[in-house]
Amino acid sequence: MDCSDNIERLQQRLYRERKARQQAEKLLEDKSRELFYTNQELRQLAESLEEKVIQRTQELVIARDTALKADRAKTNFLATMSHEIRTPMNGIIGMATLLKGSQLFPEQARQVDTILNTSLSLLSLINDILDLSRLNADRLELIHEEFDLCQHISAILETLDGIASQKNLELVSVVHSDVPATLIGDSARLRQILTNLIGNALKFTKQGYTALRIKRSNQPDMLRFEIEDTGCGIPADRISDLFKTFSQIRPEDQHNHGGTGLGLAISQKLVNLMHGKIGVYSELDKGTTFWFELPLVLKTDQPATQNPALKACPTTSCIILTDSPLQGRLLLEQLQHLHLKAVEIAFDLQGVEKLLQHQTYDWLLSLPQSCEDPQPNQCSQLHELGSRFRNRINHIAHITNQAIYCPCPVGLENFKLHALNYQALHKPVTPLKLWQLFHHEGVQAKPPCHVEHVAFKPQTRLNILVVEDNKVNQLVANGLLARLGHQVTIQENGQKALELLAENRNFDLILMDVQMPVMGGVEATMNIRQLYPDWPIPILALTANVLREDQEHYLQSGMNACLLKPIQLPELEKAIQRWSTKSLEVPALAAPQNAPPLIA
Amino acid sequence: MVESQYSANMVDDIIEASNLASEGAYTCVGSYHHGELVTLIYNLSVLSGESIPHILNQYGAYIFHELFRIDPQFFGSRKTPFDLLESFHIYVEVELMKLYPNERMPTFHTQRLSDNKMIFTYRSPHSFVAVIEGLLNSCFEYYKTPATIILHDRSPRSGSYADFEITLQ
Repeated sequence: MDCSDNIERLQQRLYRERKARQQAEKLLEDKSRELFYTNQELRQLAESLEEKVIQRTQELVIARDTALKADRAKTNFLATMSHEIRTPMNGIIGMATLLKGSQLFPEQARQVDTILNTSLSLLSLINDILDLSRLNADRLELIHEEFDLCQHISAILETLDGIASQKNLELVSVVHSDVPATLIGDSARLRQILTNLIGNALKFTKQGYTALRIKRSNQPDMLRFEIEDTGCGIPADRISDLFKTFSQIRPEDQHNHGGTGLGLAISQKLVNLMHGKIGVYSELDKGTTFWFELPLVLKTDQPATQNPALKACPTTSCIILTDSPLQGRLLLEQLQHLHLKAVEIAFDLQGVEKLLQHQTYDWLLSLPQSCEDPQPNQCSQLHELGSRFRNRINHIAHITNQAIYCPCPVGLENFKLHALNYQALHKPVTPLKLWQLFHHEGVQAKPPCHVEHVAFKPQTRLNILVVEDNKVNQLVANGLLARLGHQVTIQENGQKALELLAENRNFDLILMDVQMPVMGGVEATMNIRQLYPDWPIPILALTANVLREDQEHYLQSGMNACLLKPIQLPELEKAIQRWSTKSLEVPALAAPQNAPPLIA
Repeated sequence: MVESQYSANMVDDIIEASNLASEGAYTCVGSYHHGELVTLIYNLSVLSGESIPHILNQYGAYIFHELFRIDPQFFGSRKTPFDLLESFHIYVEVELMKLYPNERMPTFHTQRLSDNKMIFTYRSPHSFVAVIEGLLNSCFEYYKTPATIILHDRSPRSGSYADFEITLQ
């Protein structure tokens, strides 16, 4: 019984084991099939995803190529527009300049002046439009270089003072003493912004002043520039449109005041590019203040040093003599930042005399309004008072617009008589000039000179090779260089220039156009540098191309600098002076980081 | 468990007594009706004379030791009983679900109240609280860590929901 029971149990177990195994096999089959189908689905999904990736990549490539094409089109447009416009402008301005230097009847001279001035205005407009195009296309690059702020401001105000003095407006700059001496940034673009804003201020002001104030902002590490005028003001409903292109306050402004309406738009874009802010506040018939703030960038390896022009003068005392409360107030504001020992204002000579009776002063700053009557003459009386009180007043300085000494009939005699103590300060008054006056005792008065009739002094006569295909530009270059007294040889393309140089290299300088048939300027320059590695002749590019990367390409090819068309006589003269007297190494074809700077 | 704790003949007998749809032919990768297990446990209780709770405790203890056989690396790396208990839900959610993706699994949740106190929560569609009791007792025995376990059985009419309040001594 037990045995058969055991056998039966064993049979049952065997049956269960076999059944379990069969189940397991079936499960395995089912799982394998399931795995196979899942794998297939995954493979199909992977293929579909791959196709999608390929498709998306193709779409991205097309989009990228379209964007690159559009970008290239923008660049080409800018380069072409620049070149196509500047080339004929070079002809117009160059020929007008040459004509001006020739013998002309007064009426003809007036007409030539008109052509020249109008051409320069047109050039200014073209530059504005090109700048705006570059800004809109994100193709404008800023330069980062060190510059002295006070010197830069002084130079900017000098160029604008002509407009101010024509309209009898005061133009001053006030720089707070905590503004650093040296900044890092694009000084040329800063000049552009300030010229736009100050130019506008002078344009829309009939009387009073325009003041440029520079100080640290309330925002950390920002510098604030304010341009305040006492002009007609801006209606509140026009302020929001102010920075748009071609915006004018009133339609008649375009005719009455000139200007294209691009200046503010460009200024705003430049400030934004510099990561700054710009704004305005205004009151009708009272005046307007444009302001902008820029990040303060200093040299990291040196602490910010105070500008010497802004250092305090705690031992200096002075009297301001003026019959204009406005002039007195503005000069007082400037002097306050120098922390003088004492500053007093007197509105007439009696006032000066009263002050001198109580204490001594180092300086008497005289702002003569008019000295038309010879007798009694305030200027003479002033110097007579100065002689009487010679122990109480050390120096007298006239602050004047036009001539360097007092603009009165006896001014020259006064100068000769009192030359030792007689100083002069040319408007516009800037912190730099005040510093020069107090520390170096200013500029000794000298007879006026008529700037417009200064002839360009001939320098050493140089042999200059001009490589230029355009006939008009050849005439312009020839004429301008001959005016400067140089010997000129012209070749019409790079190939002809190389052929000439193979026979004769008796040249001191080469002016090389860039775009020429047969052989262009870049190729010609590279050939010259390769063929004559020991001949460091300066080669200056003549280009209408404003794009920085193209100009850098010219330098990399072996050119020393770029002259931007249309070429003007002063810039040409400066360039020749600079490059012909330099002892040079031949520029390497692969430009190092410190390639020679560009000149405009 | 039955074969090792009782005998192979007992296995035959409870299968014979249970009249199972599967005829007792089980494979570890297969899925079977829960009712068959309940019937087998009942018949084991009848044939062995042990109470059902006792058998379920035994089952829990058996499962605990089987864990170390099935996956010694996973469970062997747990250094303390609390570490091991906290790893259950990972094992269920990751490993068991791979093999039995269509099955309703128990869930485990742990909450450490202090270094020596924990709430171990067990939820299941089946009524196997006693299995977990047996598993927990084996766990503390294995780690030679005496512990007091208080059961808070919140089970609804069907299924299990229990909080085990564990205090190490």
